[in-house]
Amino acid sequence: MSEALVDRHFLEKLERLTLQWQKSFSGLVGGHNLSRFPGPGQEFLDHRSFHQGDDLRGVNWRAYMRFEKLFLKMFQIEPRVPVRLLLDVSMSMTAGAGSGDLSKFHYARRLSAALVYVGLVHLDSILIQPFSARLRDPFLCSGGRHRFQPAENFLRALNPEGKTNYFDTARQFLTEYPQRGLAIIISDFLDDADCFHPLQYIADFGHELLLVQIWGEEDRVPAGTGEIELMDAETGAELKIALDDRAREEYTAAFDSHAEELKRLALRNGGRYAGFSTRLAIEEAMFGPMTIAQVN
Amino acid sequence: MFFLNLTAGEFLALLGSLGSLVAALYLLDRARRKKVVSTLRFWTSAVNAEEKQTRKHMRDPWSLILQLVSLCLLLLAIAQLQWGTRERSGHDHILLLDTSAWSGEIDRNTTLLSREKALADAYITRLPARDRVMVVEAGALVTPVTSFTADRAQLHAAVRDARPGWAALDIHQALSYAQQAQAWSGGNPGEIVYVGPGETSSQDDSKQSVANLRVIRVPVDGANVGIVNVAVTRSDAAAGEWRAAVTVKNYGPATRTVRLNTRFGQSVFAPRLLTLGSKQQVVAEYVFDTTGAGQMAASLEPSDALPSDDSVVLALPRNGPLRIAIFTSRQNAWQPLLDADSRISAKFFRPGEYRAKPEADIALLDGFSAPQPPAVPSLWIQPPDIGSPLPVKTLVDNAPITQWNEASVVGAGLRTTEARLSTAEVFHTFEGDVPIASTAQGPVVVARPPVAGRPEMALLGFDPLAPDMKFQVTTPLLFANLLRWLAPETFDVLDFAAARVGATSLVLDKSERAQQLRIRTESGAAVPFSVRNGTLQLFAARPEILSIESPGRQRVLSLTLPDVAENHWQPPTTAASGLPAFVAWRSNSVALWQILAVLGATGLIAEWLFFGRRRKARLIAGARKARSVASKHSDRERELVNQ
Repeated sequence: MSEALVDRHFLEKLERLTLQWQKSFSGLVGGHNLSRFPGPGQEFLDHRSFHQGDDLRGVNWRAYMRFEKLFLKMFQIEPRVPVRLLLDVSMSMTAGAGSGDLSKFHYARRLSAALVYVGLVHLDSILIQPFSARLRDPFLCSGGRHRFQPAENFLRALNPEGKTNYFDTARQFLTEYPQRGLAIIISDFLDDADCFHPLQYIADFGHELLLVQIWGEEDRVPAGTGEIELMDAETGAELKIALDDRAREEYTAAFDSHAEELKRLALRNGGRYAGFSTRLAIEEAMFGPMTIAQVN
Repeated sequence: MFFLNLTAGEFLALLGSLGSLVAALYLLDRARRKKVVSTLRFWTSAVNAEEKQTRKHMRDPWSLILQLVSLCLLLLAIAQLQWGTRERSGHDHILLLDTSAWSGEIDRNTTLLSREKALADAYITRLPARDRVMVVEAGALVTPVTSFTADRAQLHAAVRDARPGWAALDIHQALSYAQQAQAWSGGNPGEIVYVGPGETSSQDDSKQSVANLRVIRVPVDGANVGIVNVAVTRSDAAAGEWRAAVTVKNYGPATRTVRLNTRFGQSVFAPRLLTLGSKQQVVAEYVFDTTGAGQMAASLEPSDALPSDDSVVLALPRNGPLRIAIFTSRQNAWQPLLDADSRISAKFFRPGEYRAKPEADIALLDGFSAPQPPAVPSLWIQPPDIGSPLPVKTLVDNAPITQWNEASVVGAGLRTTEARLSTAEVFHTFEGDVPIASTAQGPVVVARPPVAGRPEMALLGFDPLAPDMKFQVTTPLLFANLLRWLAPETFDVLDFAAARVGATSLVLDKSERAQQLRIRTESGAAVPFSVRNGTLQLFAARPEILSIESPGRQRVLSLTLPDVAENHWQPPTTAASGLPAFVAWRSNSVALWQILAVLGATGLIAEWLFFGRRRKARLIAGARKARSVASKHSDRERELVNQ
């Protein structure tokens, strides 16, 4: 059996965190305000007469023994904001790791597992939606912390494949999930095409963006000097270059510019941004950059 | 110039393959490294890197050249490159280890062979490791113990296992063999080394020329007095009488007095003091009577350095008259015939006193049939038809003997045809029976050799004491032949001798023929021999007791005395002597491998100093720069995060 994505001690620490969002979504109770609508829930709201077809589990049998009449217990509905975690599983997530570091793919799975656990602890429903060129089979997890194991199994079973296509992914996402909610996107955002416009579309449709950019050490500061033959992990395209210090600095500057652009896009649309290297431990990431970015 | 360990082809093949490997590693080290990246967008846009064409020129060519040259030098060092004439392998030496009789000489509790072994081991140790040696044991025969081998352990073991021999050294044969072996080996001829005292069987007059001969002489004391031979003969004059002669020789340069002790069985003869001058030989004779078998032993006192020829033992058989038990009712008729020979002792019994096991060597049954066949050899005279060992075919009267079997021992010398038998029984013979004399109707004298545990027997179908036969010349001869056939040991001439191991010669009687000689060892194996001018010649390389049989004569030759060589070999003046120095075979080439190894190692160190270290420094500097850039941008990243 493969190793657990997050260990038990870390899970215990995660229980004091909460997934937060800032937008107020129409039709849903945003933030931490509870609705007063009856429906399936945990908190008692009122009684009403039992009608045929009602769920017998809601009958107040104590009242029946007293009044010999069936009363149905009503609970206040808890319409949570849908939380959708889009996880990049393209081949680019396997490249760029520094020596001794985790790959971005594995790091992203661990980070996703930690976020899912945070949501489950607070009875949020989280949809894990892997994507590369298109959306892949999702996994909906809800019902508390004891439902974490199936979610972890799902994450562990994921394999990297395909190339990133944010346009198709965004279009398919908006089609399948019209209800607005929190969209947590964990990716390296390193596709060859433009990723900013698709992200802008998602934001324009009312989703709150939480962009978590993960990069490997080699993604940002490539090591080595001399003649290097580069190969794109997704497309297989090759490029022969001569790398020197100046070229390396220019490359890093371009990468940082890209990250800065991503951050601006998120903030401009009322969302948030967190970016860090895979060299940063998951625990530090959750309680450091993710907390600073008010993810939790 | 030549390669000691590798041929030129092997060297070039090795250099080519290793050089290719080094060049491949060099090119691999400097080849364009491949790297898988997440995206190429920043490389093409931000870095402004242009795709480079494959560079044709080689970076750091002197590094590769230096590596290849160093590798070549090291390979040449391993190949033990030498400057000089060709010398592909070591030399082939022959080590002749003297294992003659003299090698058993004892001096100060160590044998001469032990001293030879020590010198031989020292010689082997001093040879170069690649030299091959063949160890040969040299005595009367030349016995190679090992093949040409450089395995020192095997050579030392072969020397250690050598044992003193009994024969004298034949140095000429040993040197000839060594020369031939060196010629056959196909290698570079080395030395022929003789280790021993140099005492040989024959006088060396030829001064045999041997190239590369080395003599490591082990001095021998030589003060030896020993028994040369012992000869014992049965006397014809009286039954039971033996004549013995013991020959003693002084091999040493000084006169010596020794005491010769002789005994037969428990009877000790009076000791004789013998004073022998240098190289003098004395014969001590003995005459003694005994009818029993026993051992005759002769020994010399005091013992000397070579003890193996100081004593000798000979086993002698019984020497009594032939005892005949005669069962007859005609004692008076038989008495004159048997009294004629002193070697016969007859005892008469009446037929009623017949016993199957009489106390006699032969039983004679005269005209009666025995209820049980005799357990000793028997002679039947006119046995009755009923109870005869052979069925009586018919009775003939006045019949002449028409045929004598001269091929048999019994019929030898009998060829008269004048004998007429007044009355005779004709026997029916079976397979294995030998007819001796026959009439026209069949055999009347038959000999039956021993078969299946039954002793031999002979049957006369007529009465040799009959008046008409008594005066025939043939009758006593036939009777004598029959007795000789039934008990040959009584009538044969017996000679016993103790002689030296090695080549032995023996003068035969004029009557003896080479075709009739049978020579066997104690185990029954036939011994090869030759007869030249009436002299028997044979050879024994180790102690043997040989039985030499011919008609009417038996000899027992006990070759148990050492063949002590008396001639001192003078090696050629060109021969080296004594142990050689440690490097006896100076090579006429100069070894260059040490220089080459130093040069190769220097080249590799220089390559590392000039190129390897610089390369490493470049890598370290690059890594430092990368870290500084990463640190700088990490700060910027933190700044972004804080914003």
